[in-house]
Parts: sequence; C-alpha cells; structure tokens
Amino acid sequence: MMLVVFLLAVLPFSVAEAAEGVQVTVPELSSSDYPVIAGVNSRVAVWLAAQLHLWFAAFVLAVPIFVFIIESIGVWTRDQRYDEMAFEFIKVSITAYSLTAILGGLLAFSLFIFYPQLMTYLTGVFSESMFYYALLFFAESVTLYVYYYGWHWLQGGDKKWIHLTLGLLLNAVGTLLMLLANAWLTFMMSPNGVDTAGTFTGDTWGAIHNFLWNPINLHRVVANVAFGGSVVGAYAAFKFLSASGEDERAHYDWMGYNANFIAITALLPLPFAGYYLTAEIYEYSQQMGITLMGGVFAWLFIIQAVLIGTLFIAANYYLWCGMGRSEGAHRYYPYIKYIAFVIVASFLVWFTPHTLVLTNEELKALGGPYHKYLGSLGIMPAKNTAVNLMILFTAVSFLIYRRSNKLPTVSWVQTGNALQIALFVAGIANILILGIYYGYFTNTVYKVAASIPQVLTTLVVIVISTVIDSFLYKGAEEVAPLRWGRVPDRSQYALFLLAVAFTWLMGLMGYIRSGIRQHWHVTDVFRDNSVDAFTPTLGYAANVVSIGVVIFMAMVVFVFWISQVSSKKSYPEGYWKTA
Amino acid sequence: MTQFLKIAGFSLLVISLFATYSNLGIPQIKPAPPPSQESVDLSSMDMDSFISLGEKIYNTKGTCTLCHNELGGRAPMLDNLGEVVSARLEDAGYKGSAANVVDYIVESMNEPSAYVVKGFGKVGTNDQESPMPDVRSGSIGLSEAETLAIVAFLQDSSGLDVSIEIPSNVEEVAEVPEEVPVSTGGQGGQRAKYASAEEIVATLGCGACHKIAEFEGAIGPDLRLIGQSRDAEHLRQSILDPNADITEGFVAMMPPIYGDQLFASELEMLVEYMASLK
Amino acid sequence: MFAVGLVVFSLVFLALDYFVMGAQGLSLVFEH
Repeated sequence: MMLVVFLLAVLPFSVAEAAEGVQVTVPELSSSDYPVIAGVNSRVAVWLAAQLHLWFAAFVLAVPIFVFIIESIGVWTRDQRYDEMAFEFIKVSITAYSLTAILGGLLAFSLFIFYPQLMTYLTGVFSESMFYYALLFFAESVTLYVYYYGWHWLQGGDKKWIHLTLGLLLNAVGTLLMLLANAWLTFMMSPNGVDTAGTFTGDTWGAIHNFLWNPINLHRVVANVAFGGSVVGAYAAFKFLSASGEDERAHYDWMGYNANFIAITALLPLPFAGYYLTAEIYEYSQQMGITLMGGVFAWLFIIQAVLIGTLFIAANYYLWCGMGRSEGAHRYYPYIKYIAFVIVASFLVWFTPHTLVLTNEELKALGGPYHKYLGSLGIMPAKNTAVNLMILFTAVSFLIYRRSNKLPTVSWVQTGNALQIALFVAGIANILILGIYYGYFTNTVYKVAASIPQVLTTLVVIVISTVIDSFLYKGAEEVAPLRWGRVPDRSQYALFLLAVAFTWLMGLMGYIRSGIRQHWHVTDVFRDNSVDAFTPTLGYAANVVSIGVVIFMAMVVFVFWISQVSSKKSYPEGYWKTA
Repeated sequence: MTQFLKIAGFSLLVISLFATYSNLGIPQIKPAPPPSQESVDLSSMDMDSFISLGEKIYNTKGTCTLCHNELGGRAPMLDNLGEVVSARLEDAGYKGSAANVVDYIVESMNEPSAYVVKGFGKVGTNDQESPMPDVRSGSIGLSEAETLAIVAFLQDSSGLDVSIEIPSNVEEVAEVPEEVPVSTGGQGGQRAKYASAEEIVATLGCGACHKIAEFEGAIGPDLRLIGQSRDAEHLRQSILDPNADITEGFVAMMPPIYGDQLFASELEMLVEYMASLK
Repeated sequence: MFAVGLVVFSLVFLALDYFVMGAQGLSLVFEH
C-alpha cells in the first residue's frame, strides 16, 4: 500500500515538467524582519503548535491502520468482537480528526504570521504539493465519514468488502498527506533540488525527494502506530479502572491488551528505523551527524535512552502482570526475574554515556574523559547489543505470555521446546559475539557494519520462534482459561506510563528533528537571523516539551470524554411541553 | 472522578520526572550562539576591496590554508596559476571542461578531481582522485559570489590581471565563524566548550588530512589505531608541536595552531580519546 | 535435540554474519 501511495505522490511531480521561468530565491533576513506579535515568543508558539499537531496527526494516522487490521481479522475469523473493538477504536478517536485539523490551521497561521519570508520561500518551492495537500482533505473527510458513520450499515457480504476498501483508502489518503508534509520539513533539514544559494528553479520532485524524506517517512509510519496504540491503550486502561461490573472490566482489559500488543509490535522495529534515519543524516552531512550524536545534542540521546528504557520496562511489566489472567502462568513465573534482569541491565548499558562533560578537577579524578570501566559501555556496539537484547527478551515475555494458558498436544513437544531454547541461545550468543568482537577488537567501519547482522539476528529469532510456537501450539489444550479482567490495577498504570512516555519521547524527538538545523531555517541555504536563532539548553527544551505533553493530554481527555457524551441522555422532568 | 484524578496525578508525576531529569540529571550545556554573519554590499565595492574580501575568505571560511600552505607536501601552491593553467588544460589527464583560467579555478574548487596535480592525489588512486572537498558543500559552503572573490584573489596573487566582474545581483554573505562572547556572567569572551573529542575532531577538521573516526583524510598519518603506538604524552606533543617528530613517510605540514584553538581540558579530552584508539 | 538445534542455528547465524558483513565489503574476521 505504501508503494501505491508513493507512486501516487510521485506521479504528478515527476511527470510534469519544471514550470517555465520559476525562480524562488532565498532572502537575506535580519532580526527586524521577524514580526513580534503580542509579546509572544514566535519560536515557542510555532514549536507547540507543530508538536501538538504532530501528536494528533500521528494518532489519527495510526488509528485507521490498526482499525483496518483488526476489522480484517474480524472478517477473517468471523469473530464479531474484533469488529466491535475496531469500531470502538475509531469512535474514540473521531474528535481527534477535527482537533488535528484545527491544530494544523493554528500551525499554518503561526508560521505565516511569525515567519512570513520563510513561508514565502517554502510556498514558492512547494506550491504544487501544498495545493494537492489541501485538496486531499476532501478525500480524507469523505472516506473517514463514510467509513465511520457507515460502519453498521455496511455490514455483511459485499457491503463489508466496500467498507474494508474505504478503510484502505482512508489509510492511503492519510499516508499520502503525511508524505507530502514530510517533504516540506525534510527539505528544511536536507534541501535538495535547489542550488547552493537555495534558488529553486522548478525541480519539485528533487525538493520532495531529498535525503531525509524516505527515512522520515518510514520512521513516522512505524512510530505513529506505536504511539497511537499506546494512546488507545491508555483509554482502555482508564475505562478499565472506572468500569462497573465484571463484563466491562473484561472488555476493557481485552482492549488494553490488544492496544498494547499493537504498540509493542510497532515499537520493536523502531530503533532500527531510527538508526537508518541517523545513518542517512550522516550521509547527508557529517557535520550534522556529529552535532547530533557527538556534539551539543549528544546528551539528548541519553534522555532518549531513559525514555526508551521506561517503555520497555513498562511494556514487559504489563505482560508479566497479564500472565496472572491464567493460573497456567504460574509455572512460568520463575523465568520473569531473569527476563527482568536482562532488560534492566540492557537499559543501564544503553543509558551509560561515553564521553562525559567534566570540569578539570573531575577530569583529573577520573583519570580521563571516560570512566575507566563503564566508559567502554557507552559506545554504539554496546548500545546496539543492549537494544537487541531488550527487544529479544521482550519477545520472550510475549512467547511466555501466549503459552501461559495452554498445554501443547502435539507429539513433538520436547523437540519443539529444545529447538526454541537452542534458537534463542544461538541468537543471543551471536548478538553478544558481534557486539563484543566487532565492538572492541576492530575498527569503526566494522563496528558500524556489525549492527546490521545484529538486528537481522533479532528479527530471525523472533520470526522463527513465532513460527515454531504457532505449530507447537496447534490444537493446544486450554489449561486454565484466560480470565479477562483479572489483572491488578497497577498493570493499567503501566499502560498510562507507556502512553505518557511515548508522548514525551515523541516531543523530544520532535525537538531534535527541528533543533538539528540550529541557526538555519533551511540548512546551509536559508539562514535564521531571528533573535531566537540560538540553540537552547536541553533543560529548556525538556520544559517546553513537558508543557506540550500536558496540553496534549488535556486535549486527549477531552477527545475521550466527547466520545462518551453522545450516548449520554438526560430526561428532565417537566421540561418539555406535553402534547 | 477519583480515578481520573489519580491517573492525572500519576501522569503529571511522570512528566515532571522526565523534566526534572532533563534539567538536573544531565549537564546543561549551553550551545554556542549562531556564528555572526557579515553582510557585504557588493554594489559599492571596487576591485581591490573585492580581492581583499577574497583573501579574507581564503584564510577563514574557505579553510584553504589548511592544505594550500608553504609547509608543502599535499596541496599545490596557488601563486603560479598564470604559468601552469594553460598547460593543464591541454594535458591528456584533464577531465574537466574549463576553457580559461577563471573557469579552471572555479572548476578546481567545485570538482577538484577534474584535474589532480601529479603527486597530490588520494593515496592509491594514481592521482585520479583529489582529497580536496567540493567547496560548495556543507561545512565550507562557499557561495558563488564567495568563490568569485577567491578567484579574484588568486588571479591577483598569481600576478594575473583580474578578469572577472564583481557579481552585482547577489548580496553576498561572508560568514566568519568568530568566537562570539557567551554571556555567562563574568566569563567574558569565552566560547562554549566542545562536548566530546569526536566534536573536536569534526570541527577542527582533523579528517581533512587524517584517517580518524569516520573520516578518510589521505594527507597525514592514519590515526585510527594510533593508541597502539603512541602514548598520551607523545600525542599531546603531536598536537601542540606537530613538527617536533614527523612520522616516516610524511612531511612537516601540520599547522601548529591547534593548541591555541583548544582549552586545556579539551586538549586532554582529545589526547585521551586518541590514546584509546587501539 | 537441543545440541542439534544449537549447531544448526549457530551455522545459520554464522552464514548470516558472513553474508551480511560480506555485502558491506567486509570479511568475517577483522583484517588490520
């Protein structure tokens, strides 16, 4: 589907010839060229508008993806619970669409008001795609409204196929919208299709298809699903905690589990999408890459490590709590501590910095810029090893969870289990050897290159183990049924932690994406000469992100509340005239 | 409602933990302010001023003197262009498309491999590839006007008549990465410190000549495993006084300027980093 | 069976390492 969308996006631009006589040049600005309005800090205004828009946009792009998948599963299994859950997901998020649009409008207005010359330049370069972008909202609205409002009308047989097609179209349009917008912001980071002075002479496709366009496209599609899943999971968690009655608890427990499953499945490949993005940043400009990972933004990635560690620990904790739904899980409890140990240890490795910023006394006391023993854990091979292990052991938690209420009935149980253990042992050994040998006994080229077989090992282990288990548990006996609703309340707090951490992390990453441009509106081409052109400290950035998260969560609460309100009814006594 | 308040409280707590960690748990590095820009009005310039501008860019933003200098060795001197250019254009090994001195100079800056002077090519390429970067690219980033200013300077310093015209429509900017004072209360005139040895290596351009980190400079010794053969003391001396001990097979051409460009703690950080390259 | 599995999977990963490093122009064992 991505390919279809990609072609749709590319066709108009690659087929059309460059317009005759197009010439968009970069102006030279001074601080007085930037409007000051009502004492508002322009940068913070645009920053918050953009980030809020991005959070909502990510959410409304993600929901149709997993709603479509869940609806399809429902059609395939003919289990209506899936159909109803899919509908509930989209119902919950419907208000989010208008909020996304409102915030998009706010962002656009802020950009034009506070940065008029920049927008003149960008609209000059991207006039066509911006025009298509605006028109596409008609398609988005039509598909969304018919898909949602027609859910219970388009049921059964051909009508269901039509409905599914609408879902697919909704996803295609949404993705296309994102691809177009991604072109504008990645152009600002890694401009293409313009000469060294930034003059644009009509190469629209060149401007769109810049270095970072596809890496951002990939990263955002996957990250949106992870983020969206976590937000819906938070909704389910809230409904679970305020449920009245066993049935409601069971329903929302199930919903939370599915939302978490979606979020974690999308989380697992995310580090690699991020790695690819960073590799492309290095390809585009070594300077930018070094500033990102080894310069002023280096410590930001330690904050990121803390956030990601939180995500993995919360996700695993939720799974371990969930094992309590079935008595059959007791036999697996002893393994949890080992998984927990590996995950926490990996997190600690990931969070260890390499080069420390030290005063002269600290430098003398430490005997160098790196800690004698721990410093070596700060380099990339150690981090890659740690993240691969975290992902692998999360997969183990999943495997155990899925097995907890079943007893296999096939004849080759012993063999199957032995194979599984052998697979994991071999895989983990390979990851460790790759990380340690190439990481500490070779050179930079090998170190970087070794990360690829490491990640492929993880993927191979996950795929093969899933396949083995699915065959192993074919026709399995349910030992002790999964009792939906039978989870401790603290498991739901793990879901809230997941949603908050995901949101905050996304805000932090939004900052780095924009901040890496430093004093440029468009890197190396259009200089930012406003008073806010300086790069702020990380603490400042974290504060702005935090404020954004609070505003976002408040708006999300509103979205969820509204989805309930339409079914509330009041019957005021004696209010209405009787016939 | 209680549930909602409990959850809201929990979420606010988590957010404040992340914010607190970001403010107090990590060093608050104040990034260097944006480099100051000098806006130059070309329309009112005479040729002498334009040539001086070219010389200034040649010595600062262009980073030309890093390699093109009298210590000799890995980049040809540029004061004899009048004598050599026409022969080079006729040379069988010439891969470019310039027809005159001005075009040749511009081409050398934008596509340095179009002609590589014998003995100055990248090691192992038989003088087919130049180690010089395209001056329009990222970290140097010369504009067309800045390039022309350098052309004017080079023509003039080679004793030729300056045959170009001062560009008129382009308002040119010569960005001078100065050390702008950071207002850290009482410190006065101090730039923000480098955060890592890798940043020093990248910013000071070590990779232009050396193989180090991910750079593939082909002019000086390969430093990727230098910690195996040199200790910290030796490395420190090599940075501060590069010509005191020259590695066999290389010539004395590393500028002795880096000691003045680093704070003592940054020098130590760099030395420790290089000593750990094993 | 565990031993057999271990050998088989180790060979699989060895092959994976060999081909993936090879695709990047590198040998399995580091050459100075």
